[in-house]
Amino acid sequence: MKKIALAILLFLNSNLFSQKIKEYTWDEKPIFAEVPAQFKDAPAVVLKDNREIFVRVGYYAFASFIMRHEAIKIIKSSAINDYNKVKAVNGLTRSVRDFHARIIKPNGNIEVLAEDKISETEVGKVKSLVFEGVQEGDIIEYYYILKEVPQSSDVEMIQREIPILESKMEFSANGVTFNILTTGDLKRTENDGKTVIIGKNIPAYKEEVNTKKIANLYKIIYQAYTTGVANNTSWQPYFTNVLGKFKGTEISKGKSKNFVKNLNLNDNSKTIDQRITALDLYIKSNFEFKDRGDATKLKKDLVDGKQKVTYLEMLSLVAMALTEMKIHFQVVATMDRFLGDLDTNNVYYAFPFTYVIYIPDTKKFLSPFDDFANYGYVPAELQKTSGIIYDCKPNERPKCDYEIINIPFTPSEFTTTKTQILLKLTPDSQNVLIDKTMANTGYLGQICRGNIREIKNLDDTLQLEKYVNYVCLNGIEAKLVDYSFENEPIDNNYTNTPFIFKCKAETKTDFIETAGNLLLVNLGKAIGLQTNLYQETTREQIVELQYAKKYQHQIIFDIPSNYDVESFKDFVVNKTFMKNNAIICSFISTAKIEKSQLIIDVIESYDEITFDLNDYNSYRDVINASSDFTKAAVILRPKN
Amino acid sequence: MNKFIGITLLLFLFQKTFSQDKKSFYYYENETITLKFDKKLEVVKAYESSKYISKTKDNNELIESVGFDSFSDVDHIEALTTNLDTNKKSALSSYNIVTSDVNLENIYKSDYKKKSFHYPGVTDNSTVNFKYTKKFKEPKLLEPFYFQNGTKCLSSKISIVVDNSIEIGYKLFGLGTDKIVFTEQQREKDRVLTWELKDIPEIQAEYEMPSRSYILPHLIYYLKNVSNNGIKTEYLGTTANLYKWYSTLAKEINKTNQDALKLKTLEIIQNKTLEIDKAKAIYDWVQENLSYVAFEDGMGGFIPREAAAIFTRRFGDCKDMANIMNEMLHYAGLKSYLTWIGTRHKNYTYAEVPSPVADNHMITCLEIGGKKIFLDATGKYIQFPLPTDMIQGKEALIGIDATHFEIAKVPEMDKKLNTISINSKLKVDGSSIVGEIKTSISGTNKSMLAAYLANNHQKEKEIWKRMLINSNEKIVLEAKQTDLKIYENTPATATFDLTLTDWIKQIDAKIILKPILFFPLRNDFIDIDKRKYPIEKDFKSITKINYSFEIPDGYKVDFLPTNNDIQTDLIGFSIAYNQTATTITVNQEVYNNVLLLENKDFNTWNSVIKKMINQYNQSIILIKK
Repeated sequence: MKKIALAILLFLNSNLFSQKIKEYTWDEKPIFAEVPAQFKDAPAVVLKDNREIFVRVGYYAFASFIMRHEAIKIIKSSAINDYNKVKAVNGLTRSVRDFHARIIKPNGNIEVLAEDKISETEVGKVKSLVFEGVQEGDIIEYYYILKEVPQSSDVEMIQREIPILESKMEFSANGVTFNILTTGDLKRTENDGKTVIIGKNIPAYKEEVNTKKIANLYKIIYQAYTTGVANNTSWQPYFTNVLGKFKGTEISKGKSKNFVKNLNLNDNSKTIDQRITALDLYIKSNFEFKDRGDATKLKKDLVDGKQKVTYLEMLSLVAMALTEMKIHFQVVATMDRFLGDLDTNNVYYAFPFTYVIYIPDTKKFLSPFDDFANYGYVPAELQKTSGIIYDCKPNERPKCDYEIINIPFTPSEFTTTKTQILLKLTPDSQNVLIDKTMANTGYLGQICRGNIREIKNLDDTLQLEKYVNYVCLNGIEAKLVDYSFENEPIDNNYTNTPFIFKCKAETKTDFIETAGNLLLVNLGKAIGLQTNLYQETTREQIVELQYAKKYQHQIIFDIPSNYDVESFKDFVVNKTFMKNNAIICSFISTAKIEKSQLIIDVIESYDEITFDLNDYNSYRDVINASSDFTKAAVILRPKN
Repeated sequence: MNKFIGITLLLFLFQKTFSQDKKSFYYYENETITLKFDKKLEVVKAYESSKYISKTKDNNELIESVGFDSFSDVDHIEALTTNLDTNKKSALSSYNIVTSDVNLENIYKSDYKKKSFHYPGVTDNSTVNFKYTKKFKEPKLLEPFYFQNGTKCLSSKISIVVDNSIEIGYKLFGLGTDKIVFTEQQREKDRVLTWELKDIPEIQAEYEMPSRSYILPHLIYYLKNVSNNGIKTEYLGTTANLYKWYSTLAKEINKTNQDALKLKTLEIIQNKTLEIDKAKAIYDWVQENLSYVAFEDGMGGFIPREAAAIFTRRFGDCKDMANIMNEMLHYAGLKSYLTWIGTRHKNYTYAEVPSPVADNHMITCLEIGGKKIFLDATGKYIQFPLPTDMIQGKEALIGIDATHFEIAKVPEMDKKLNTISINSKLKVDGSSIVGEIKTSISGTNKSMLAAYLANNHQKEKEIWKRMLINSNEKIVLEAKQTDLKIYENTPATATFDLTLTDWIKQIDAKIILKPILFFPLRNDFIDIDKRKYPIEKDFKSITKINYSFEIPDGYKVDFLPTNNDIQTDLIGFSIAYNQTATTITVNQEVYNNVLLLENKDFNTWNSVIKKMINQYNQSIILIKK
């Protein structure tokens, strides 16, 4: 009896919610909070950002009512054009139940926009409006309700380019339960069966380089599922239902068995490392992903030259091959750290995650979805993330016990750039001949190797030359005379053998300066254009680099026989940032004269990928030291 | 940290492909335009192409779409894919063609739509054949034919089949049109004009390249007249005919009561006696109070909306802004006219192309004391009475009255109107330079500053600084005062404290001081071997910098570089050094005096840049007394 009563109560509650959202309206005479002093300089301020979502189980899918209500105060007229247009649409859905707009003048007068001002596109039936007669000081306010949106999950971005005084998002449902994640300083409360998420005085988002960008934004991610039905949005049922034994694709057990056999991947005379390397190398050399619309079919024999697969087929192929090879592996669901952190309890379909495969025996990763990353470390964006494990032991059913793996970061020794640059003045002392060798390993080596392969495949000499210029002569106004590459095959990735560029060039301008009869040769430029943070004296967000790396440059300058070196002290630099007795990043250069050559050695390293705000100034000093170096010159005096 | 590392992933990220790759290309792209008169005029385009798909890696290549609007209909879409490995053919089903609205950037509402589909059964090494017909409901609005596009093409051909009763006009534009082969065939009832170009490479984008109307070979054709039973009906073909049509479109506007607009105008010009002051007040009001919202909806793309409605709404597109301003100027008793114009995107004169293809914009032409002033209120931050940079040097079609018009050229703004001036008082402090600089920014430079500030409100300080330090990012500026009065004819001004560390080189008793701190045009050296297309500059401009350095105590000047002064019609600079007992002054002036830099002028340009950089790179030597 109690259960029936509860069910009736729930039903009534749900209907109440659905009714409530349909009847949503604005206050006839709205009262908004004053814009606080810290936001007074903003061109516009969001006074109210109310969102509601009501979800019920529809006939074939979830059906949502989505309400958006916003009031924006226009502080500067330059902002009018940014905020005076509203489109009532969510994804592909534009079935609008209500759409109202009004302007509240500084004197309190309210001008409601007539309904006939709402326009609709001919085919898509998207409704939109432009506020009429908006002036500085006005508040523009609108709300719309979309109905029957076939959507059960989304990411609601709250923070934006102007401040928000008050943000509120309400979730209610009928026969549906929500999983909700938030990022940023948002408060969550549960009230009468509703979930309410509130933010106050949210600052405008500021664009800065090397940040986690989307991960840092205030946002709400939600996922609805049917109440009472086992929550298949948690990882355990998700893995079981979606991945299972990886059999849901064209990659059959028989095909994978033959694949392993034909590639001799079960050769017991070889180590696990060697066998997985052979697997990964074959896949990276022969398989590529197909786009939507590509009708290419998978061949019967998986070892039959070039093939195209979908992402799920690729995962099946690797997983089934590893199963066949009797190697313990773990499929790890994780997320690009620049987008956010994976929730290790629940799956949020609207928040993109990816997979890598961890091999516990070797403590290395396979990255089947990444074109460039070879067996070993994870792709750069997955470093320092957490993942949830789907454990696949030989002869056992794969399972998820909510075991978490913390993916390590890749040390700076992995990604290195070593250059040797021989420089010689032209006979007229107007320019410089450059003979440069650049060896890139790690992530950089993989990228260069991959890119060069792609460009060569396109048979595009112009593009190839542009690329060499871009990488080797970046920022130097020079004519590329000759270039070549070494260690091009991708199997070099597995031994981290450097990808080598060799190029010869002659500067065209801007390498030589003069002061009277003194010659100033800008040898520092030879290392290429460097990032600088000269103007970025303050910082709001933690610095997040793609990957740790080390540079080692050697510049060898042939001192012309008719000149003496007057000074080379510009080239002696030492900027080191230490923390807990360890070098975190540094730029160190030394210079010496040997016989008739000036030899400059530079070592620059970034041994971490995250720099706290407290560390920003030290990090900035190192970054700027590298840029300063490009302005360094040797001073030559003519011999008497 | 090397700059390329951070962006390599973005710029050069490709999907995996394999060694058999070659780029896709068109075997042919053909259009046949039929202009037929049989009781009524019919204009139909039949398009046909055949393309080789090397790799299906580029999803865009697998999708085809054809645009249309309320002046045209697209029909009879057919597509066929042939897999060249298996010879299997897959035909497109009409069920897979989707019609959708097209959202165009900066256009709030339009009637543009497209029909699109995925080619069926495409694999690597396929050919795709595609055809459709397009019917033009308004024969004055015919589309140009471009022989070159983003994909290499073996043969690109347009044929125009014209009834003997119909006369058309045509002209080729762009680079390399001499390679286009033209043939003409007279038949019993019609004639066939054909232009064909073979072996056309794909377009390679270059920085600051002009719009495609300047560089890509294309044919513009238009309907001149149709004869029927001895009566000749004129359409286009002369500017007079074009204007006649425009005039008809504009004659039915402004029928709504405009009392409120008139009152507002009178309020704005109150206490103003000079015509020029009245005009400025009106122009400023329109700029400040109207937002640009573009509509391209049927004839709404050609006919200005009611001035009274625009006054209430406070937004509109170029036509609406031109119209309301024109009405307001009339209320102020001034002579002004609605004016049609092609922006610099359109490389045509009205004599060459007497058709709507020639223009894409509307402004107001004001006439004071016999002098024409071209007012473009869409340039929200452009200072009265300057034209926006997008219409400089272009022909304007000024609608004098219902039957009269005038063609006039919008002047190119003199470089002196777009000046950045910097005056500095500096001294040597160890290895640094410190001091104060005062700057004033005028003309389009000022408009740019205002626009950047409006669009990047969080970075106000950075933007002020960026206006100056782009050529030397090492300079640290601390703003002491900034002043920007957008709608006043005064330059934007600012005062900064300047610090430039590690700039001075000290060797024993010598100080080496590089006095030039700002390097306008330094990065404008052209790679002549690689550059294919002309370079388009937004506007002409001049930068004038005065550096005044205190000579450090106990030092004297040992060496001053010699002055240099090179002036050409395109570009020039002068750098002059002077000294007194206590100071060294350096006057630097650099200008760009060209909007479109032609390939033939590249050598001159580079030679000046080279000399200028040499001069930039000269230092002063100070020695101990």
